[in-house]
Amino acid sequence: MAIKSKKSNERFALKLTLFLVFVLSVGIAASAVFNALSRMSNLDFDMYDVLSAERYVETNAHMYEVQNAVSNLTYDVYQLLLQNGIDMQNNMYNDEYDIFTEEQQAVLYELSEFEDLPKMIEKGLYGRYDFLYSINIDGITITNSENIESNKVFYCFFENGMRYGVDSDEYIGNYYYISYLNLDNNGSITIAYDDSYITAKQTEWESLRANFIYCVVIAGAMAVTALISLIWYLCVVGKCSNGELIKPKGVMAVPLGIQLIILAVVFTGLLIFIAFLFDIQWYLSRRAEKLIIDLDILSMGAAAVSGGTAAAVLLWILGSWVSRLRCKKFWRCTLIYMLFAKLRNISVSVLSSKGFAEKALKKYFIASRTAIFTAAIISVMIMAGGIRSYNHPTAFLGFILLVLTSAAYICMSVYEAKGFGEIDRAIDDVYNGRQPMFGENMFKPPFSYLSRKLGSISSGYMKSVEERVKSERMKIELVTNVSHDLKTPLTSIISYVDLLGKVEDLPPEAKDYVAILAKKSDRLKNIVTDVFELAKTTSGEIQVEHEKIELNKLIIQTVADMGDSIEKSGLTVKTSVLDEPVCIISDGKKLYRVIQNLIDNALKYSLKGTRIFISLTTDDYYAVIRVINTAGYEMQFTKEEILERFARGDKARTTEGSGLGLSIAQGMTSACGGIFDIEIDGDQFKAVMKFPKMK
Amino acid sequence: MDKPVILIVDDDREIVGAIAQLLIKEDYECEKAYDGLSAVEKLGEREIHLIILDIMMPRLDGLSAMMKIRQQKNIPIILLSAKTEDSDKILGLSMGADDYVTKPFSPPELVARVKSQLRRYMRLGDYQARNNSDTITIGGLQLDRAAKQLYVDGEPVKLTYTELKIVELLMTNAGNVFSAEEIYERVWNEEAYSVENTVMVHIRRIREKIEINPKEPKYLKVVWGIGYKIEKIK
Repeated sequence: MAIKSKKSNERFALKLTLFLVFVLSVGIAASAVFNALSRMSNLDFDMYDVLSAERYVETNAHMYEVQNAVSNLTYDVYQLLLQNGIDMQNNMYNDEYDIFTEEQQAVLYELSEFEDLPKMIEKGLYGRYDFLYSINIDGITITNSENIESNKVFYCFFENGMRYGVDSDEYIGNYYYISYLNLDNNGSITIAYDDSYITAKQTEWESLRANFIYCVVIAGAMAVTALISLIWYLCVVGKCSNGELIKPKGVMAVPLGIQLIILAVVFTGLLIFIAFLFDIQWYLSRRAEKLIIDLDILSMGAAAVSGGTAAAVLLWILGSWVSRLRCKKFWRCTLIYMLFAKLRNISVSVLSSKGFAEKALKKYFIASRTAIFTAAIISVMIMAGGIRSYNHPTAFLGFILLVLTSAAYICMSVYEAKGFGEIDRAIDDVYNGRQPMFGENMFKPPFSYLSRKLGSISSGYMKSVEERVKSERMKIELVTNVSHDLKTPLTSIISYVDLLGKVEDLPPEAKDYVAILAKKSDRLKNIVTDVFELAKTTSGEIQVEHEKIELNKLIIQTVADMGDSIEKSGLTVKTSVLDEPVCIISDGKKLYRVIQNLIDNALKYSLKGTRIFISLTTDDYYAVIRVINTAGYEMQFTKEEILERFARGDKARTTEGSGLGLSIAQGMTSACGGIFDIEIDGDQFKAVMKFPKMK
Repeated sequence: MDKPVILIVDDDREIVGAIAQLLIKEDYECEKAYDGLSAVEKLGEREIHLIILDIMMPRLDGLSAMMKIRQQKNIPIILLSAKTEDSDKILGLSMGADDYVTKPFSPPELVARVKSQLRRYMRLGDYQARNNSDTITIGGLQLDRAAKQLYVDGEPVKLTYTELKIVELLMTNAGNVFSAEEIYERVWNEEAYSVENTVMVHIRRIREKIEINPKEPKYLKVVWGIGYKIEKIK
């Protein structure tokens, strides 16, 4: 409810109504003014005459008509004389008073006597004459009416070097073509209109004047309406009904710079539109056929649309400015302020670096695309404008701009592709655990934000890896030291137990005890040795000597080497190796230890009377060694558990062994470049080692 | 002849005591020292035939003490250390030690090694007497080819004919690695086929006869995955 009341508080309907009223009234006014202007051009006189003159003949329009008539007439007569061999221009410079030769006078006379002279003139360059005329040169008269002076509206020019206007001696202008006839001293031109013509003209003029006044009145009324709605709108804009200010947002918050750009674009568009319209009007007006739409109505509609559009844009900008000023947020809505605010935001975001990259990227892409698109449109507009104005040089300018815009777009794409490629490579580096390589483009926007993030991810990752390595190394150091410190007392224990065993007069039970001590201290020795060995293998400190070894040989050698303990255990070891040599690159001594460990393990935990299988197979890439035995107990553990250090098959830990055998085997196998795995299948225990085959 | 005198040097008095007891039982005379410096002093006081020397000791460590001793005397030195790395062993042996025993050692093994070293040292004259052209000597191993007899630290060892042939082959080519096939073809004079096992069993037997600790052979070594060799030792 609160939101609703707030909405109604904003008086949106009122503002919209005022806005529309303003736009409509300006549109109508524009249309009326346009109409009045075209009427004015039809009437062709100035504002004062339109309103003060009562008769058509008193107006400048009539005067222009007369002037045009005289000009046309004199030119026609001059042409006619020229066609008959009389050049009045040349005669102008003749010193003699009597300017025509006898011959020429004869021609002139002939012309004046010629009955069809008016018709000949009518066929002249300027068409028909609505008026009566009489030209007197050298006493010879050319006329289309005998009793010209009896007409009411009468003009006489250059009679005896004097010029006369309507019913008076008024000076009525200089007519260029009169000089053709060189009438200054001995000729005159008389023009007269008959009453019916003047009456028709008067009627037409009056209707035009009425139309004009009507348009002016409408334009005035609309102007007043527009002014009122404008003031009213500006009063209410940016305010609620209770006088509260509304924060500018949405269209009202469009930055000043962008508003100006829109204004410029709209006005340019309108100018082009109007120019185009005038062109069409001019073209259509020369055509004889009647148009479907009245040309005036078309023009008025166009004027209304243009005026309305311009008014809407202007009022929008004005209104938003007023509402901004009202909220004292004018600067906030300028591009410069926004730019500074952005810069501040950027610096803040960089410091806090929170969700920044995404925003920055979004802005970069929107801004760059918009800029390119706008530039392209402006170039096209300039080019089109140039072509329209009869291939003006600006067309070429527009073309160059368009080419430059395209070039800029290509450069931008290349730059982005490079940047993304570098980031991709850096991500690969991080993924592979390397220090990422930062290309030069990655320090430029918009990639710098991504690079910074990637850098922090990478350094964090590296740090954690480093810490892990460090802690692992410390653990190993500890184990090394401890096992070292264990060895010294253990040496004493073993030595003294041995000495004790050599004492001859010990009671029999004491001899048993010594035997147990000897056995257990020996086991302790083995455990300490194993712990030390494991510490070495897992620390990566172990030195591996790579050489080419034959796995077939290695397995047989190992099994033969362990012949004694195998015999002792009462188990059978079956080896199945391939006939052809299987070669790998590894450390034979260490692999021997691994296999020995595995066989020891198998011997220790196998069910009595079962067989241990050792097989060597190959696939496309690997040589695979399997040691398979049948467990003498139920294996209640997973392979992860058994590979844990100190884990033993029997959880009660009753059997011999340090429990490190498998861990050592695993550590050494990977140190030798192999993969160690364990499979448990019922009572079958399989240790699998894979080594990349040598080609 | 007097009892051989053995100097035992270790900073751990109990270990020194235990070793002394072991050796006295074997009818040796023992001198004790608890650091490197006093060991060098002891050496000046009376005639010593063999030294068992710990490496990590206060005042003067075993390796430095050994270097000092080697400037004066040529007696056998057995290094005793908790350092089990191959690199430690190689360092000790190359600096002049005759043997290297890692802690915790097994007492019989230590005794055996002491005996072996002493035999070689005391019977140096016998070596030279037998040292004719038909004799090959590698460390403590001596093969009299004419008599078809192998001596280990001067003690004759009983080997079968095949074993002797293998030892002869490996000793005459000391340092070279032979594969099982090669050994078989040259000893048995037959074409080798699936002989790895046979050869390995013989090697094991030989090792048991000539090595003090067959698990850590000094002379006859298996090059795992490749073959067999006898190390070249001065």
